[in-house]
Amino acid sequence: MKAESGAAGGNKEAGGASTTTIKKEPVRVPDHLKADDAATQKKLTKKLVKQHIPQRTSAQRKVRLFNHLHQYEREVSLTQSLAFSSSGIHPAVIKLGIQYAEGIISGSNARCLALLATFKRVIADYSTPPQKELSRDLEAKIKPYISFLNQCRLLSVSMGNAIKYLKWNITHIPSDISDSEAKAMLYEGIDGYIQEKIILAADAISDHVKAEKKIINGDVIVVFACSSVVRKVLLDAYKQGIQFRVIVVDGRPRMEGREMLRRLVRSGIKCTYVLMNAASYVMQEATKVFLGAHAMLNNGWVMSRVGTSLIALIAKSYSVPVLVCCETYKFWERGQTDSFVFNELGDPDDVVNIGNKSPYLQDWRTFNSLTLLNLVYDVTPPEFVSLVITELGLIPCTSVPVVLRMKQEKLMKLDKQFYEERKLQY
Amino acid sequence: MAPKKREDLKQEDVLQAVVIADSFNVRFCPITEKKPRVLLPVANIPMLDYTLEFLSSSGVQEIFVFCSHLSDQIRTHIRNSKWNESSSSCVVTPVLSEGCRSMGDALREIDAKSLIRSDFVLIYGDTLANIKLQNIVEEHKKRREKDKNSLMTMVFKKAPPGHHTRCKEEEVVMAVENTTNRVVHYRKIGNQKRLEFPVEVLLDHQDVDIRYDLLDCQISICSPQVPQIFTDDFDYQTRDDFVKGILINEEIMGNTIYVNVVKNEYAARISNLQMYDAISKDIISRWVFPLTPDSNINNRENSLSCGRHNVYLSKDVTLARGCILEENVIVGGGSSIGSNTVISQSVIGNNCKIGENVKIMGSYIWNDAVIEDNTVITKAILCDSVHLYKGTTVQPGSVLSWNVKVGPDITLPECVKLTSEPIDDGFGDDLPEADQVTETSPDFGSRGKAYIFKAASDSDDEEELELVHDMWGLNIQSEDEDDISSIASNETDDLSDGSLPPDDYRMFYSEVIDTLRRAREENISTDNMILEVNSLK
Repeated sequence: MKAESGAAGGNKEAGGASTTTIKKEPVRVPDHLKADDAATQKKLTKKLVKQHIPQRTSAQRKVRLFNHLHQYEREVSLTQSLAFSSSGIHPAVIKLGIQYAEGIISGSNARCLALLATFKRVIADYSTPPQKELSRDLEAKIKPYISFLNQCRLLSVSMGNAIKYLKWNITHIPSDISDSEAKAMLYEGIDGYIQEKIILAADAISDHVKAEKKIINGDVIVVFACSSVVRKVLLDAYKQGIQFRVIVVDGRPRMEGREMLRRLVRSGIKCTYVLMNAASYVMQEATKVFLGAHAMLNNGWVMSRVGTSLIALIAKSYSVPVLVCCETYKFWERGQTDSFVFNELGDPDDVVNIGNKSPYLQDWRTFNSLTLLNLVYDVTPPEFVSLVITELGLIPCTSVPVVLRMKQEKLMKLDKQFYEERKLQY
Repeated sequence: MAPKKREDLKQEDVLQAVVIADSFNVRFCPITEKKPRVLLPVANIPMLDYTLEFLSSSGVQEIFVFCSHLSDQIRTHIRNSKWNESSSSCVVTPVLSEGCRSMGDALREIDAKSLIRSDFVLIYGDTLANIKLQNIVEEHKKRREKDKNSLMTMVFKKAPPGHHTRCKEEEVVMAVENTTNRVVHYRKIGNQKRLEFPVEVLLDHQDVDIRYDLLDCQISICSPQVPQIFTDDFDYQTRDDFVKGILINEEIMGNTIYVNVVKNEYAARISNLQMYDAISKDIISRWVFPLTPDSNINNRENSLSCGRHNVYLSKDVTLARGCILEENVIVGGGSSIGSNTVISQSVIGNNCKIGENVKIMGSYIWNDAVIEDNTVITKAILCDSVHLYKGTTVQPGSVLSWNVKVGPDITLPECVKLTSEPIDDGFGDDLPEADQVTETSPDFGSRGKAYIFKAASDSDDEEELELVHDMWGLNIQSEDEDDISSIASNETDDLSDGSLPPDDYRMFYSEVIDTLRRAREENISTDNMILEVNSLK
């Protein structure tokens, strides 16, 4: 996998000749950030046609600033053109894609777990065709599935890292073992990943919070939208008997705070619910802010649900400490300093409904100069974040690249080990 | 000059309203022995003021307040209120009638006095709402122009079953024709778990919805024929009788009743103690905006200001150091709260003195109360001038009536109702004075002055219905009918002279109950009922 150098802005390939003899590796902007480049789009279309994946219609009216990102029109059926065939997409993957597209499964951890569960099904139903090797063929089989899922909804960082791990496992399967053994190895690998990186990591984060007494009696904790890790931390602290209360801040259009509120109230925690416009009002009585993250970037910035950076900013101005809870598997090698260069554009029609009031924006498409923007993610600078709690411990934002480097080294060591074993075999 | 168009000049009748300021039941005993229910304070403002404010902001210009029990107090209250000033937008006239026993009697009186000229709003004096009635009245009038027989539009609020503002005694199931909003079937549920619907309801009408998600706020827009119909038919005592009667006689008389369901506005009626509790909480949480505690409805000098977590404080409140007002608290003018006191979810009236280390939770303390140190009050109502000495504990569901004093270091039992004077209910013999004093002192403390109030026994089946709903503070969940008949038989034990009725009496008793209940639902006349009961013997 190419390590993507995360420079903002499009540094297109230097066309024309360079007179120096040293051929420099040109800095490339990844393809999925080039929605406005006609050549790249043609390539993408061809690739999708080859893989028999329906391409979603791009939205006609996008905010010009985000022309480089994909935005899709909501369609009646994503899967109308899909036919049942053995070379087509596995039905479990189709189901997963629709669940992503409709927002039935949302949230970093949930999407990753669903993805891994689906791939276990795929592996179970897979059988190596004659004259082919499992390690190569399975990978080739999985590629169109990933493209399909990407078309349904942009892959999250957690999903991306899980797929990387899965592909690594597949390619490193020794060629001489039987199908069932290989599958067993893969299941073990996936289960181990889930246990270690997701479930136990959440437990470890909760333990760190308990051990370092980050939640004490009388705390007023502000949380934003819905994060499974933050929810677990709060529930565990409540079970321990600590008296605290929670203020849930929610943002439109997704209103995920309601789900968080429902689950916290069900377990008996005293909660207050406000919308984003009251964030500075409630921040005055807050003692801590707990935020979840979609990804940690390698320059220390936090990528999370849109609105998180606003909460962090308000907390900073009221001197309230901000603690980000994030498992290490969500750490990403790319770095960003703004929310424009890479983001997900949601359906603009979701922003039209404002509850009871009359929907003024119902016919927004008739106004030529009006475009609606529904961003999904935003990035928070490390100056607003006091602490990042991971399963490895409590680290400052600036230590994120260190963790990434450690992971990279570990991976390289494993690789080296594997190739040495292979060399010995030949 | 163009000729004046005479057709455009019509005399517009002002919108009139009839407020029934008496509930004709004794849910709030013993408090209502001294003061009429509509003058009891909810969030420190008498209930009647909320109703009048609601009507006046809906464009009603002439209000008749129909009083029966303790009517002088209501009349004085109205005379001293802002509604009597010349600048007020509506005219409030009290109508006194001591002999009325039900809403039906009230409407018959109104018919006799010919006070009503056009469509009017019929409402109880303990209703709280912020609905804009103008639209509903317009709709009613338009419907009447097309169909002279549409008698009444009932206003219901949409609330899911189990909602805390739904009164369990007044649960209603209705079948409504969706397109016209006409009521085609109506019944009160009481404690039944199963209902039987006549098939004609669904066959004879198109697009019928059966609705159980309605909260009855007892607001109705009536046509001027309604009082007349009450006069014609002496059996009609309540609005439910009226609705059922009209529906039964639909083929003969052709009268129709419509319903209007309010979704985004608030309406509820304080019909018993649970409702008092639920609606007070709603007012404090600002659900009944613009009727909020700090909107100063009755123009008093000490206005409340709203702070964080719905803590309303009057200007001249004294809060000692260390006292904690957690959330949803109102403290009235002139009150003082001692140090280390914790108050939450409660209403404190004017001029109260609350001592140190007191814990008040979910309670309603009215004016001039004195609560001394180290007391605990949970889910109780303490009326004016109640005095709790040191160390007293008041448990959930208690009602302490006017001037009750409860002595030091006493824990009251749950759900107890206390009055300051002994009740002359014809039960026990009149004990001599000295005996009475010693009878109360062990129960209510050395300086206590309180007597337990027991509701007078009514007829058997009414008692049963009373037990169905939760008693305030406790939860009696009667799942099946066996429970009810056993509870009922226990109550008869208490009130009779103590002997347990043998088994066949119990069976006969339960059969009589069934017959009476069935008879009530099906509106069988009394003669047939007597025959049936006799045959059971």
